[in-house]
Amino acid sequence: MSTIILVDDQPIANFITRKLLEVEGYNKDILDFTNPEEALTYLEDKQNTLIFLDLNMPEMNGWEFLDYLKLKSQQHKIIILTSSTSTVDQNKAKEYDSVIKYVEKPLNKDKFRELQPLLEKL
Amino acid sequence: MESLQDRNSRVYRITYETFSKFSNNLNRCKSLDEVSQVSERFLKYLLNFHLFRISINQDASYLVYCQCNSQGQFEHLQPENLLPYEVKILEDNIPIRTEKIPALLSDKISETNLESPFLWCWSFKKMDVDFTVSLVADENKAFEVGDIEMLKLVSDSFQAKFQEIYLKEQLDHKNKSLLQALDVIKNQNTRIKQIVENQKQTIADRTSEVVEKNEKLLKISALNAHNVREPLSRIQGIVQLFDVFDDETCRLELLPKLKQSSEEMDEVLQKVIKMATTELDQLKAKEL
Repeated sequence: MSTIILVDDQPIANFITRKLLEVEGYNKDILDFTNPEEALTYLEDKQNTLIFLDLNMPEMNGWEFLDYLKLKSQQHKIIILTSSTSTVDQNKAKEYDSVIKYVEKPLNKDKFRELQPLLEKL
Repeated sequence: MESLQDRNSRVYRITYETFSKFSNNLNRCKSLDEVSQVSERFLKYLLNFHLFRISINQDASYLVYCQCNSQGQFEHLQPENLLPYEVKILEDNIPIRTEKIPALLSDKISETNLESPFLWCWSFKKMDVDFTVSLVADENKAFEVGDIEMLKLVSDSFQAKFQEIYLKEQLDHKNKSLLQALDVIKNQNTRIKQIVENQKQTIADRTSEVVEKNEKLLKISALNAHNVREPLSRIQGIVQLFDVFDDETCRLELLPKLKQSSEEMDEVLQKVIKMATTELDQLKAKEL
């Protein structure tokens, strides 16, 4: 399986996701970024990477992140992981082909198991 | 030589032609003054009298027309101010023929030399209207029982015309009152419309204010809920990790993060409380 990228401005949020992935056996090649721009720089020459993406970030929000990838025609698989429960955000996420799942925080074991089929395809 | 029958016939014809003219002229009258002019012109050809007086009940008072020496005069009298014989005849309806002529009448005709004058008086009722007709005649201008038919015709004509003028005046008065009332209603309607418009504007302004406040509060509420949910979701995420890590890892790695997240949540809640208090104070200040 290729590298998994975690993008959340809160280090603790990335820590929780990383730990859950590790517990479920995905303990290799997990990179986390609290700065979305750094993540984009890393992704410049990558394709088909699985990204856990937060939406509400101060420097660059999740939508801007997605728009940038779209603009650069970079093909990645995005799982939005956010504390937003807004249906507006949920519907907006559907407009992006790259978004394969919209998950509300906190990510727990049950939610993670729903993601497993998607992760195994990668 | 004209026979008595022919003479009577000619007198009868002339009298009724005169009455016809009197009646036509009277019909065209629009006011009491015009009635007086017609009466002064024709009445002397229809009846023998020195003084003619008709008193017609109009609501609470009496319209009195008195013609003497070819001069007519109108006045309005309260029932108690009618001449005593008129009051009496209105009560008992018994026609009067008397030599006792009230001074108020005899004074009017004192210029002429009366010879054996009599006061005649009748009371009538037509369409629920009481009226009396009286006249003073003497040997020089003799009024006879045979003239009563003409007197009745003349009286009916006067009564009908007076009633018509009276009703027309009442109608004009009521129309005037109605027009005034209409003006008042129009003014009131204009004021009501203005009040309604003002109320509409006030309601629209208030509604707009309320909608604006609600939108603002909803935005704040959504923002606050989201801000609170961020650290809360981290706390929940850390708590679930306690089930899968050993005590040492929990103590060393998770507890500090739990503490940090709970502090962040407290910070967010403080901000929410401060923001809500500020908004509430601003709203109260606006209402005052």
